[in-house]
Amino acid sequence: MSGRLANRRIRLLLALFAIVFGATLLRAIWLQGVRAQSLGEMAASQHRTTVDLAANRGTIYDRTGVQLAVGEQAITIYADPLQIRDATKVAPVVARVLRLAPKQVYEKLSDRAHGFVYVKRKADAARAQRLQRLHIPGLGFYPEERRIYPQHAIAAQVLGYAGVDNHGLSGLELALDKPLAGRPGRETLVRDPLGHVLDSIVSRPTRNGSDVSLTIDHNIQATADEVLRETVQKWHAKDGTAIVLDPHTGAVLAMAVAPSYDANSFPSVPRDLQRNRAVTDTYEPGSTFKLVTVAGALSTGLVTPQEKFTLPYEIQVADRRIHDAEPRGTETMSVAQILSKSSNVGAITLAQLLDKNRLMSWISRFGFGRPTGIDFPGESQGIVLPADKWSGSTIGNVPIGQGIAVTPMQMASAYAAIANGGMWTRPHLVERVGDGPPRPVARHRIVTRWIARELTSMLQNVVLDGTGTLAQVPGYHVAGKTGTAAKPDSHGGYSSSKYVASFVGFAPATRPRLVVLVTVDEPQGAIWGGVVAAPAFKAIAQQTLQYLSAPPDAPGQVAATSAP
Amino acid sequence: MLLIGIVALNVAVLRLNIRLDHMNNQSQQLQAENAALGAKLSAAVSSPRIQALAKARGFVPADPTTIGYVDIAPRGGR
Repeated sequence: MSGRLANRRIRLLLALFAIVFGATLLRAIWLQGVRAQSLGEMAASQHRTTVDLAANRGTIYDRTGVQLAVGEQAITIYADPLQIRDATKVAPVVARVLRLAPKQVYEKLSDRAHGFVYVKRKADAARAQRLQRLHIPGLGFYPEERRIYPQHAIAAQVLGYAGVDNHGLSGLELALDKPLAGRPGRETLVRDPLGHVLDSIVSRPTRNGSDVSLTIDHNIQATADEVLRETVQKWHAKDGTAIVLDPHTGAVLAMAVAPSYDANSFPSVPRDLQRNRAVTDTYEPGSTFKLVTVAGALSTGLVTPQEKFTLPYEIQVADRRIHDAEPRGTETMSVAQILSKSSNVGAITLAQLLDKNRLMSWISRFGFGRPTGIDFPGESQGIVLPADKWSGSTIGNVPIGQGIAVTPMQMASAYAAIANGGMWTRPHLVERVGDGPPRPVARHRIVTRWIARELTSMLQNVVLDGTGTLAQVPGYHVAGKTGTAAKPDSHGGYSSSKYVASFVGFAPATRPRLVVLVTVDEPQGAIWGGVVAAPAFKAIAQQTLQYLSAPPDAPGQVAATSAP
Repeated sequence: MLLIGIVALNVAVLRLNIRLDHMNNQSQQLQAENAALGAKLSAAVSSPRIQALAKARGFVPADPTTIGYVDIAPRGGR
């Protein structure tokens, strides 16, 4: 009797075990077979987080190794308004720490229609950390890189700007965005229940942006910026540009535009000021263009430097009468004097000898009518009318730099070619990207060494006793040319009150170290390139030659103090 | 014993990972500080700033005509 009862209990227990085991097995199959994927995903989401790792943007250096644009750590603050307990209390605290308008912060924090709002992008790290220490529920923080320009206004238009998303929006920041930006990485973090990181799995390594070295020298750039700013202020001009080039390498040592601005305040600066006018804008060059006419006439063998021409004060070209700048009687001038005295009648006479087709080929040879190829975005090619579209009077305009539009960069490059013994070298701003080799520079000969020497000698006369005496630099021979061009008006003619005054030249003339171009747009009180722009050339050249320790080639020579 | 060994090894790896994470954070912090210091240095050596400071202390630019240059290029002979 008792043995049968024991057997029944054992069987009951066995059945119970079987049921429990069966239930466990079914549950296991349910969890591991049917719900495995969804549960796995839920678990992963609770202790695994995949984050994008922002790449640091490369630094932009000048040629001396000084940082012109650099990334600084900032902290972005965001909020989940649904988790903000009392926006009326939190908003003033946040606003005070971050120095924001309380009303603006309150509007964001009380916006319960969204689960995510930015409170402040790229806030100052110290202020953000102070806010972080207050442990306000609903506020979140993450680090971001902020672009800053430690040299402020220096080369602001050249550098451009990288925006909130750390991508270039203008200038070199835009042109070099790909190498500067790098590539963001991706990482999966495994955390314990307390949030400590247990493991990190890098699924894509971060590639930081490459550093970029420019040809700009911040000292020369600062000099050009300052001199140009003072010149524009002195003559109450609309704006101005200055370029300093190394004629042998084509390296742009400085490129200044006035008025300028602090590069750090780019978003609030009017678009008009942001343009790098030295590359994107054109102007009618006036007499500085006579170099092309004279170079063409000499190179084709039509004239020699000492060949003389009897030149009246005025000349009739088709329906136009064109005269020299200053009234005079009929004079005999050599080709060299035509350039040094900047005779319009003489230049037109040479151009008529040359004819329009040959003149056009020389204009093209000097690089006008097409971009120089400088590594800066938005370069203008200038405006050069094709020979078949010339009217009868065009041969009276173009040789003296009217009816043609060039960029300051094109003009500086043309004079750099003469300074470089006739070899045109492509101007460039970027020396190297990352650890790569220096970028190759295109160059080609446009005039012979002999012609370049003759032209240099003529340009020296311009500064010695011609229209450019105020460009003289004590101790140095200077070669250069003045330009004074009336601006086109809206009626198809030329303004009688608006001019562009310019000077372009190089020094020391016997062994050129730099080419300097200065243009001043709409100066008031004086209009002449020799009066308005030549002193600015002198100031930039003098300080830069001293900075470069360029030995004088004319010791004892004293500069002129007033125009002839 | 094997089980204890495996657990101990895993714990050691986890501790190393936590340390690595701390060091990564420290490294990023240092890089950020380095960049900030670099920017400060760059601003400090800024030409206009130095010129303004020099002017304020009464310095004037050197007269170019008073600067002498020494030619160290070898002249003839051996």
